[in-house]
Amino acid sequence: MTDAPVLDVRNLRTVFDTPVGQVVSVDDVSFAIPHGKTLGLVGESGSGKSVTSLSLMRLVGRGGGRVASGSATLTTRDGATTDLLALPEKAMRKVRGRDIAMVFQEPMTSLDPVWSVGDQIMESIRLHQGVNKAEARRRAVDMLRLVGIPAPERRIDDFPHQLSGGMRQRVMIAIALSCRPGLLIADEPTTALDVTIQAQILDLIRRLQAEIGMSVLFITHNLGVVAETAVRVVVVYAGQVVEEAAVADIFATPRHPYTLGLLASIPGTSAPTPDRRLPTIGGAPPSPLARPTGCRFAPRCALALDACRASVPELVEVAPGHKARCIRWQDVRR
Amino acid sequence: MTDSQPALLDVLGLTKRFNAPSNLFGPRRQVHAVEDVSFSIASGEVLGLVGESGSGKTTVGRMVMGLEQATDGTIRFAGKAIGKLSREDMLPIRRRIQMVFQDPFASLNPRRKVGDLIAEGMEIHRIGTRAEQKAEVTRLLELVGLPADAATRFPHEFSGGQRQRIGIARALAVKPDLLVADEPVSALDVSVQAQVLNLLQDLKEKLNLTILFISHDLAVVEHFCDRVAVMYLGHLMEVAPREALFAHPRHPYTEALLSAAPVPDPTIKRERIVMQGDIPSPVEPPSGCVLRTRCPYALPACAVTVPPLAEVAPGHFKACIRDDILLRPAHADQ
Repeated sequence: MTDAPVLDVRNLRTVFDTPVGQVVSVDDVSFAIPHGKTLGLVGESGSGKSVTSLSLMRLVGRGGGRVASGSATLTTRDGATTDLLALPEKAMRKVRGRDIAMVFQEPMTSLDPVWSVGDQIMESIRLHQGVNKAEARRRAVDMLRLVGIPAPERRIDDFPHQLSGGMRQRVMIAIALSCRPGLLIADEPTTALDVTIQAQILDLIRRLQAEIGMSVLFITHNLGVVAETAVRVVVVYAGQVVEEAAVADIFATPRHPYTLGLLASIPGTSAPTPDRRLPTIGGAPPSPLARPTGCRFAPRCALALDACRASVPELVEVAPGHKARCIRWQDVRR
Repeated sequence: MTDSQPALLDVLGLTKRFNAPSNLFGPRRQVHAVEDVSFSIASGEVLGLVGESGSGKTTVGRMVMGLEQATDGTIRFAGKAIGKLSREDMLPIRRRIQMVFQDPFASLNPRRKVGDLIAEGMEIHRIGTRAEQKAEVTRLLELVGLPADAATRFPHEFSGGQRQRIGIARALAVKPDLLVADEPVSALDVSVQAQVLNLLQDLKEKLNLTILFISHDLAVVEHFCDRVAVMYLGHLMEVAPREALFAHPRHPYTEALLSAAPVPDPTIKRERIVMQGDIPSPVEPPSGCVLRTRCPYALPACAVTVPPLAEVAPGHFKACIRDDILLRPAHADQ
């Protein structure tokens, strides 16, 4: 059972119907989150990485989106499997929080300003674990202590505005982890935080992962964070997976020009040039309403040929466990 | 900083305290935003001002811009004290100091055309005729890498990276000598960030700009700046040439900051110095050294007096009484 991935996402496609046409935010995305490990989902703004996570949580409807096709098979601790995308809403409500929890980027807007942090943690505990108020409060204090909030007996009655950004994000994590979910979806959980606080939060997630055997889908644009947390990495561009590999392979031998460009454009990753210029990817990602036919990266790619513009390249296995969506992958060198 | 070259900007003992909302019957309280900060920037130099949120780095930038009155201390620009000037006397100096803001979405008026936004500074400072201003807008758009027809479009038609280029063109329109850039690339995706950093480097060389570069991103600062000043809780902790700061940090806070930044290389497994706790409240900063409550090297003596910023090597200053500790560099291979 431990060999089965916690979440197996196949051919996910999420669309938004807008007045100016249909936008395919997530286009045939597949990946598997290994049991007890962290999968990094990397992409820039508009790549579809956050819509992917919201699709899995079945939360895209509120933004006018819908999952058009695909499956997402969740394997819970007792070995039972369910397709999240086919579940009735009522059953899905039980899955959220209990089996899968989510931490968002912005801790200020994700917490309700009119309830104390204790109330917000206890809500989830009482909903999913059916304990009385006193027991829920005791467990909430334990969770706050676990995420490193000093004097949790006192802090539990604080309101979100009384806490710093780092503490709020820790409260979010405490809520997410209060029911010991098998899977944590963390969407840019440290992006709004300072580096020393980010280091604390990353350490905390890692420690809790070891303690309760949790799997993590870590969504980020920060390749440094990916290098430190993930075992496997999925790179998305314009709604599609363009590369997937073990973390060491993504960094040592990227096989998609976009991944290569991303790595090179981080200051300090390539050998410094005498003129202090960074290697860049020219242009900008295509609008989701006007994507190129062929390879979506071709207009920005230095290696692009006519064949690249003719048809969308397949995601092919270029080495064991390493896939890339590029017909010229053999010419991509770090 | 060098004795041979006169400083373009000279900041001495700069202090800013804000009145904090006080309890009804409590004593009047103050936020110690910036405390006794001194530095200078030579003409053509890029000084990085680094720190976490609440460190006071943005307040320093705003005081240099004249957007905030200093509580104490002096700011000299091109040899002239500018802190206490009247509006009329300040105007010609304002032209020579311009600012680039962090958020390219919030800092441009959405109702005005890009051409008008760029020309606004020239109008205020009465530079050139209408026709000359129009020609200058075209020249500036080309300089920052935007098409000439951008002038007749509105900000919402542009991506984040393009809007940041508009913000830069707007700042350059009045031919400033000093640019205060407050997190100019923080809101951008990495691939776009590299483009904007290269643009700033081009402009700096072409126009001999002096830049106060405010950032929390150490990799960006190491790439772009000549010298670096590190702030924590309103105080300067360390000031040094870039190579010296990253290779031989002398202050425990710099060491922790360097070690907290995630490295985009999965083969580097380093031990991280995780600072405990949160940044203390600037309303009641710790006595003595403000870092002591989180510093792994703190001694009882650290609580007694505020350590002065002292020169420990040529051009390398630190505010720490511990001379007996060896701190780790930013990169493991050094």
